[in-house]
Amino acid sequence: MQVPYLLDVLVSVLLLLGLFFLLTGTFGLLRLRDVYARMHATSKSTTFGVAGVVLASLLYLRYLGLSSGLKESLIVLFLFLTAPVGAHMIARAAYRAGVSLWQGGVVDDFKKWLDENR
Amino acid sequence: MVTRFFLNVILALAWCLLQDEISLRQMVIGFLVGLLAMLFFPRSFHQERRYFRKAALSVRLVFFFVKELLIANWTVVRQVLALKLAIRPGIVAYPLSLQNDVLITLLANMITLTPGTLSVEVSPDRQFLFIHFLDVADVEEEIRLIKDGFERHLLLIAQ
Repeated sequence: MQVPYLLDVLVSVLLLLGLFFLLTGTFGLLRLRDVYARMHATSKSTTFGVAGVVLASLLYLRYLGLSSGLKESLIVLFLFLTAPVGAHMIARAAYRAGVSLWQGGVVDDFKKWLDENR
Repeated sequence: MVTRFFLNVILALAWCLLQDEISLRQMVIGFLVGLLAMLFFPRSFHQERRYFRKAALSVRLVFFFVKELLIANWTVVRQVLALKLAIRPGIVAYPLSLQNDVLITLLANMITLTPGTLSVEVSPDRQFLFIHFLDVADVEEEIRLIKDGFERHLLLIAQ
């Protein structure tokens, strides 16, 4: 089916933007040094990246009349609801399991607080 | 409190799903119908002081959050792709002014969603939120930015 030029461009830009964020997230995962720093790269860029891809799919499929776009909206909604909880739980679990911070770090107020309250 | 506004938004979304059409028009209609439905419930169920003011503040917070999200995302992309990795990560104790559990959860989740910051733990006495920063330039400054940003917005809603 013929898709208008403007929609084509918009969908492509959204896809590329989403993929750029996903790629950056992966790159950060490889490059950063400890669990905590890596959580930044993956959980955030991924949220944005997936949102971009899903938005592109929403626009395209909605135009073609193949989808009402409700499912895509729900994906984005649940992504934004669950991503921070997951990242928080991983970081918390890592800290409790004794995973240390990268030695290039500058402050650790949490450790200080834990020492004082034990 | 915020929960009432969320309830209204959820009702509006449910309305949209029923109409099988998510559009601004259906959202507004759903919001109004939801509001009307809430009025019929016993007062204790949706008792809320200055409801409309809080609803407006919540909408403002959403826009503020999206703005912060965009800025922070860009910062992290730059830090990750920089030729020389110049980050100073660390965990900072952030003194909480909020006392409400729902609002603290909201604050912690917004901080985690904003790239560059990640909430690790809340102290059981609700005094501190421990935040991991990808790059701590100045501890005082970072704390001030959150205090004047997210937490100020949430405190206004909590009033």
